[in-house]
Amino acid sequence: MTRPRLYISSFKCSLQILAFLLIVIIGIHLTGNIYTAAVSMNGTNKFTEQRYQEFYSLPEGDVDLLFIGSSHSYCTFNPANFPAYRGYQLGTPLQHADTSYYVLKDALKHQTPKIVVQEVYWDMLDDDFDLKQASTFFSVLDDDSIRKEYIDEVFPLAEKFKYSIPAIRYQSDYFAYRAAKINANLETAYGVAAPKENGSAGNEYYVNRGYVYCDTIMPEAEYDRTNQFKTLNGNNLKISDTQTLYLKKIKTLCDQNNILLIFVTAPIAPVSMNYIRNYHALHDQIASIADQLEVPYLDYNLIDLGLTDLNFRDDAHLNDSGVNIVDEHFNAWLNNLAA
Amino acid sequence: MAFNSLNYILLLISVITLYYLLPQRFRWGLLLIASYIFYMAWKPGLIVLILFTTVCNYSFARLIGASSSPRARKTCLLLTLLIDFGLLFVFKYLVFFNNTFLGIFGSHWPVSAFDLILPMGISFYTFQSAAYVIDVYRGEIQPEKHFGIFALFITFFPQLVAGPIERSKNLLPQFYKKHAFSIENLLWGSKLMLWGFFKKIVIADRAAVLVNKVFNHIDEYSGPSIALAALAFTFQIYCDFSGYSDIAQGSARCLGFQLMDNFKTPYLSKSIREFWRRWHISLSGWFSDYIYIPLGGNRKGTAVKCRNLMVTFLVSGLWHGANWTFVLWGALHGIYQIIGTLTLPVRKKIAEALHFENHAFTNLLRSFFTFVLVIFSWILFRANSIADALTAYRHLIHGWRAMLIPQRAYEILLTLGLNSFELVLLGFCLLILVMTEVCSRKKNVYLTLENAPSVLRIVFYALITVLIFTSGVFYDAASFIYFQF
Repeated sequence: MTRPRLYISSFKCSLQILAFLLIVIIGIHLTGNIYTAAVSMNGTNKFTEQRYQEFYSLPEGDVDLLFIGSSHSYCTFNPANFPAYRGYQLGTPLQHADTSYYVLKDALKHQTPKIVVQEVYWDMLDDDFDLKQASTFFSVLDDDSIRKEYIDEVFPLAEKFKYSIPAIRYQSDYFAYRAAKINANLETAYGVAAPKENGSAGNEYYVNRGYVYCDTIMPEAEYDRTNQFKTLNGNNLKISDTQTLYLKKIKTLCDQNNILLIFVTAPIAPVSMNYIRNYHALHDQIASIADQLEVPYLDYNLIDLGLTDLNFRDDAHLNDSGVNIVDEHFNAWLNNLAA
Repeated sequence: MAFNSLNYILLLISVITLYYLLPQRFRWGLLLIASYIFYMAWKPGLIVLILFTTVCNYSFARLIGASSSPRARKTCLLLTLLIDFGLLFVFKYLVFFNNTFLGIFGSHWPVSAFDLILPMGISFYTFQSAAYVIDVYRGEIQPEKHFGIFALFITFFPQLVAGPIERSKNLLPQFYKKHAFSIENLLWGSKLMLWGFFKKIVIADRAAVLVNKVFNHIDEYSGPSIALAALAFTFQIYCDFSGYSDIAQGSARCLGFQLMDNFKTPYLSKSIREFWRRWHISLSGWFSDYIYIPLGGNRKGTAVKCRNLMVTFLVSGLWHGANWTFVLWGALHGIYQIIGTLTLPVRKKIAEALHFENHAFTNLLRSFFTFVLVIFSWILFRANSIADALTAYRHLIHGWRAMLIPQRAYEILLTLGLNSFELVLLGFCLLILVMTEVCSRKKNVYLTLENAPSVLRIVFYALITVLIFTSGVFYDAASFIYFQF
């Protein structure tokens, strides 16, 4: 390998480095601004926004039963199915236990629930951190101090760095926005349309108290081809220490506020359960945490309610028909507990 | 600890700072500690394995150097190789062969299925240490006396987990050289790393989404999608691996060390033979020096040469992974080489007769044809199983007419795993890559740009840096492909 010139003029070199840094900083900053503008144009968070807008507008003391957790929570629990309680559904997409803690902390600034139902889904418990789910929560959170505390306490160093750069933070929003524009232009120019999945077209709309109605049924492909649970082996999944810590913090927060905490694992489609090997390994890990924390725990994958695949909108989430079946059971269980 | 992580950047900055502050006699210690920290960040317990390899190779090499008895020297060599390759076999291939026999003999096979952790970098450091002992045995180098320096040679963090597989002749003496702080080296290293990060984070990780989507559901896709995925994988594996090598070289260069070039625009090669002189050069060189040439190389006639080529490529395939797809991929390249060897005289005569030697158009055709052969073989390399590979090859010829129907072409576009904007972005970044590689085919990218006008150089590096931050895959990013080897 030949060597380049041995002597580099310090001044020229410094000037070149400065020019490089200037272009880079300006480029990243401008791109960050462009990406940030796309966030509000993406409709992906509309149900979460509606859920939180209504929650923040509730009068004090209007919630005594609170549901938190991921989509497995808001696709399972309809507050209207619990007539003895003033329930509210505060689940958000991909919500991990670390986010659930801050969801609860924020909720307690506005309401005083007596019961909190934390949906515990193993897939939300096996990684230490996930920015996407935190970003979804941040997009609806109106308390800056909680946001700041979350970033300080939960974000690993690398994530704090990535989060501080809008061009990284909002990249997927901007890409989704631009892709939607390109697709719309292609559809207009060439008279094409995106293919629909084989399954019921279905309706999906926000009702109230955080619940989103959906009557879609699971697409054909998810019975086999695209089922996400085909290779899941319960022996290979280990719950992260970070998520376990936050489950404990949720319990502590509930104890401090005289709240009964209940863990629930929502059901997944029967066809999906058939694919999972060693499901008990998953169940046992969560049950062990529940035992340690002395928290009642129901696992709807091990309770036979007669659910069929038609009660599911996809391979992992209930549709409204399934919600009514599960909520009926859970309501009876809650009433029993109260009695 | 992955190169594309904040932890690695912080480690590197700390090491560079301390390295130049420390007196020369302590520097090897700093690098050794940093290398162990780097390795242990993945799975601390497996440091025992690399330590064991270090101690064995160090001890036996010294015994070989100290002994005048050919029998004793040979025994020591064989023992070292047995330990080195025995460990490699146990951790990398035992599960594979056990599963193969289970598949053949079923319940009659006495050993049930089990799992073993594959220590990161084992294929690389095993080959590096084996080459060292063989070179000592051949008398090409003297055994290293300083245990710490030798340990550093085995575990030097920039090249520990995915190469380049350095020869002791190149790397060991550098640990004794005093490397004065040099802005030139720092800039050189930083630029190399930037180019490496661009290839890995912006191109390879983006292409990986498309590749994984198609190859993990290969039976659902037809010719155009499979061809696109194969092309994407061609660039994914190149950018992933050469990106890693660039970051490794750049990191070492910041410390004043020169690691060998591992890639030299391989996709511009005009023959498969040339491809293997430009792709993963350190591994090809290893196989040439320690398998192909000892078997006789091309010195014992065409038939023996063909045999040697096939053996070398079969072993190369197996080195890449514990799966029959890799072995068949190696065999395919062996077949390419054999056909190339056997048809060379005829092709030369034709070229001479038609006055096509070194004609620009002919060279372009040759490069294109070689590129197609390489892409074809990558399908086998990437497929999850032989059955998947065969499905891919079968489906490859179907579905092309559908591309003429706008609706069908649009549906194909939507099922590739990347959205339309990401596809456009990937195309744009590949254009940058191809143009840069074509312009730097005679020298490497760094040297080509150093000779370019400074404005162009600044704009180029600024552009790729901005693209890293604004278009890189920072979430659900793929790990470096060659880590699994």
